[in-house]
Amino acid sequence: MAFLLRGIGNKAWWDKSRDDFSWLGEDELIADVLKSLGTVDGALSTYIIDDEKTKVDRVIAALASRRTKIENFDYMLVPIDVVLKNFRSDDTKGKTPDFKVNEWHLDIVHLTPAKLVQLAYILCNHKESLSRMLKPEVKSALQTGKDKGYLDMSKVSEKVKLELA
Amino acid sequence: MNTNPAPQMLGEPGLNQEIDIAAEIRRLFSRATFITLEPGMSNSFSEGLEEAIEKYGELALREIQNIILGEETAYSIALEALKYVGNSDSRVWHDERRVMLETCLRNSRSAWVRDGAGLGLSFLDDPRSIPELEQAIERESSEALKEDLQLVLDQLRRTALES
Repeated sequence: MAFLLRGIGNKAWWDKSRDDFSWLGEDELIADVLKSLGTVDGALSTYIIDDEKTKVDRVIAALASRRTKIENFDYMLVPIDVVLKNFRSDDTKGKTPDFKVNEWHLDIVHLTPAKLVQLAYILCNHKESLSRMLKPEVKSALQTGKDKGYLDMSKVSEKVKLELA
Repeated sequence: MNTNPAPQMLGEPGLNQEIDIAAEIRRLFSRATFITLEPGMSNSFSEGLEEAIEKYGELALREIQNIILGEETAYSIALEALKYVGNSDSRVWHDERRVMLETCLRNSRSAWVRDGAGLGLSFLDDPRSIPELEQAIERESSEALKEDLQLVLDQLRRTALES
């Protein structure tokens, strides 16, 4: 079973076990989760991950390389079939500095506000994992991307480049 | 030896200076409500906080702590602010940053704030925070946050072994 990876800003938004929002009903999500589902032209960007999840580090490195600073990376993995059963998709290329990762890109398309909310609940209820990679691991994944030539360093921010060896 | 720069004076030293710094920090927090705080991306809030900490050191950190522990800002803004405190390019006020983050981890009622403090400490990567993290994990009521704090603790223990 393949998965879709989506960077989610901060996993705290998706974690209903935290005590800050006790007013939320058992099946409810805080509206802030929509901030981590930013769409462009009604499309949500995701990346296809293999069953063994061997591509996770490389995808995270590609996404983290577009940031202006290296820090933790929070993300979610969801079984691809659950999403594709309910939504249309388009395999447009990604826009990261890693050309291979760009080939693993998948847009979930034709999203309206109502469909985005529906998607948020599907992601939350069917997620395989809600994970965090801390800064040293993100830096190590970026370093591998640089050393192995996966990343087009001309497209990586100056500050991130300075933090790498 | 303390290598921190002397805090710059704003107006009259003493009480007036503290009031000016407090007002500046509070302005930054109130403007942050109108900014998209995207993880890993610089913005006027992160840059303003960093500038204030570099210039005013402990006074700025104390005001940030007061705002966060006094719950005078949104949890999501507090979380990002604590990450900025820890993820600085500069090593100045390192110990003061660490103490402030440990204080927020120990005293906040908000899981989001404790999460931000844990992340800030992971960025500082200072093994002296290990005892605070061990205690925080013991106290933590949220299982998910307990796991996240454990990741930070494991990181600092690795750093301690390497150094």
